[in-house]
Amino acid sequence: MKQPAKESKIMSMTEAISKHVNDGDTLYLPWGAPGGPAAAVHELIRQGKKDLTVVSMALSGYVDPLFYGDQVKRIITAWVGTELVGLAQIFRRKVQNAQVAIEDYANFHVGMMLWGGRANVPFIPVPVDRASGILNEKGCLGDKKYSIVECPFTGKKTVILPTFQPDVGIIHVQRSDAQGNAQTWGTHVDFKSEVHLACKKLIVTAEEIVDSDVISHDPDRTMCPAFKVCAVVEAPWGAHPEAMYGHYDNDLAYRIYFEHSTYDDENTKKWMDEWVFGVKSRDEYIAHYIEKFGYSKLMRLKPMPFYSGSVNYGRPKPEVF
Amino acid sequence: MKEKKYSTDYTLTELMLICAARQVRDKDIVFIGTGLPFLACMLAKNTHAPHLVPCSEQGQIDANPLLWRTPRAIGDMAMTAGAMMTTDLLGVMHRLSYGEFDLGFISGAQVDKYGNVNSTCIGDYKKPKVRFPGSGGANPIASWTKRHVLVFVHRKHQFVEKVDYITSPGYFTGPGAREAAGLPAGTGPVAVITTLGLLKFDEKTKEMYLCAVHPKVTVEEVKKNTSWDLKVAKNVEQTEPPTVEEIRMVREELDPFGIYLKREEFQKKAIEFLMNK
Repeated sequence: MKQPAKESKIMSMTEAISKHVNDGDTLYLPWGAPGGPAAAVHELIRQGKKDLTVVSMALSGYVDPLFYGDQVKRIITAWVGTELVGLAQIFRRKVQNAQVAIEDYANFHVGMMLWGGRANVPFIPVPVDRASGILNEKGCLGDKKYSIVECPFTGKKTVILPTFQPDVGIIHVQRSDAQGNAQTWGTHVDFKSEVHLACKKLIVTAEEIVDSDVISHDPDRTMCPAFKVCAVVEAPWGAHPEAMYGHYDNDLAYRIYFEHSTYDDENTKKWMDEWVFGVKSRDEYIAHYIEKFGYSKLMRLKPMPFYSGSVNYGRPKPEVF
Repeated sequence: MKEKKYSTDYTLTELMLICAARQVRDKDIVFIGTGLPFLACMLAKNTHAPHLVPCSEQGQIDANPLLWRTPRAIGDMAMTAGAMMTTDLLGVMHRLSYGEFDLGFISGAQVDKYGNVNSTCIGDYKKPKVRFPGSGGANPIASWTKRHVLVFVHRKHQFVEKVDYITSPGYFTGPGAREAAGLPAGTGPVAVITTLGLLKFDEKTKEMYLCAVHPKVTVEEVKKNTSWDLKVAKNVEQTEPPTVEEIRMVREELDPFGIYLKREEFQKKAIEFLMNK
């Protein structure tokens, strides 16, 4: 049987963000270290999408620039930081000035809220203590943060949380076909439990666009079916300065440089003007990196190869008996 | 048995790290995070606990990072290539709430006498004086591991009467409080490793007390650096100093570039490297 021709969803980052992210959206972003959709976040900033609610289990440094303007109104998460480098300085100042409304859970809980959204159920029971700040300090969700019910089967007190189905999610992957059958490998961070499928639609940005045959020869690695995807963007170096397994290492020196550039508002503005507003695309960002630091600095991030063996899925013989 | 050679050349941070490693038992399934606890686990694996199973929130189960380098984060490539399984955050968290993790390490900005830890904010929650990254996995780790160990720089403003926000549960207000809050019996912090000594929790009152001081540190010094009236064991012991071999391993194998142990110097060098065309 011949496969029908499929519509390509490939478009530029500019088009993908402008078409598919609206002001007022609830946006899902992955933890992102490795593989944060950094290129997409920079485009979100350039387009000034506003009144955003961000839902995420955790957010690494790639997302800190998104807090620069007043685009993010609310954030529901467990962690925003830069790990060994320091603190997410821009985020930190925004919360300290009460310019971003936050709701804290543990990453486990936000994961479960998304997992529930993915299954299309209204609430989800979670394991959590009832005495720490996680339940007792209420932020932007107010009384809708949680409820305690009696388990109908055991009679035990059980904490339930609301579930989320974000309007749109943005994920960066190693490869995708033109329709959005996207594949990742290495550390999946959010992806093996498919919490990203809680989103109503997904923008996929990929290091590489490949033929659908490549995908269908290894369907175990596909973490998102094309029908969930509204846009596919080819974005090499799309996660920098975070790592993308098999493509590049995390740029520790640059992450430190970013952290040190954001200790105060004045220097943060300089960094934003140079690296976000001063370029139009990820290609220009990478060109600027090469111009400023040298080509060898970029190339030092290329990892040593570490191939998996291939497996034999087997395909059926045509005869029935 | 070979006689141990003790080192006299070490920093208090190095000693803290070595003491943390000594809390690990062989065959422990350990929840590791970035930083000193991570180095502690790797030290333990290379010394007395070769069968420990390091796992992280990023989904790696039985990771083997020192094949490659000091990992810069739990999501580092070094954590994945060579691991026995990769799942994801929820995958690992479900193993945690199932009760399958033996040990976790917790650190933060503040700790109180019941071992409650704050890594969320200082001051009012909605408009804090200082905002930190938040719980991440710390709350569930402190809730569901069979035992967890706190690792803290021992300073007065961090050892406080009452934490501004309980991110990771210790014993809350005393005996029975964890169970009343819905946590499994028999869990909770077992030790606090600091830059000054080793503290434990009284079995009856669940209150923290000083158990041992590091070489050259006095009980008075520890009390002076604690905001509440710290209880002290009848016979305060002295911590076993690090051995020459432990110090060599830390400096030459675990963190040869000083990513964690010489952080400021390392960060300065990293920026210089980047700028030097």
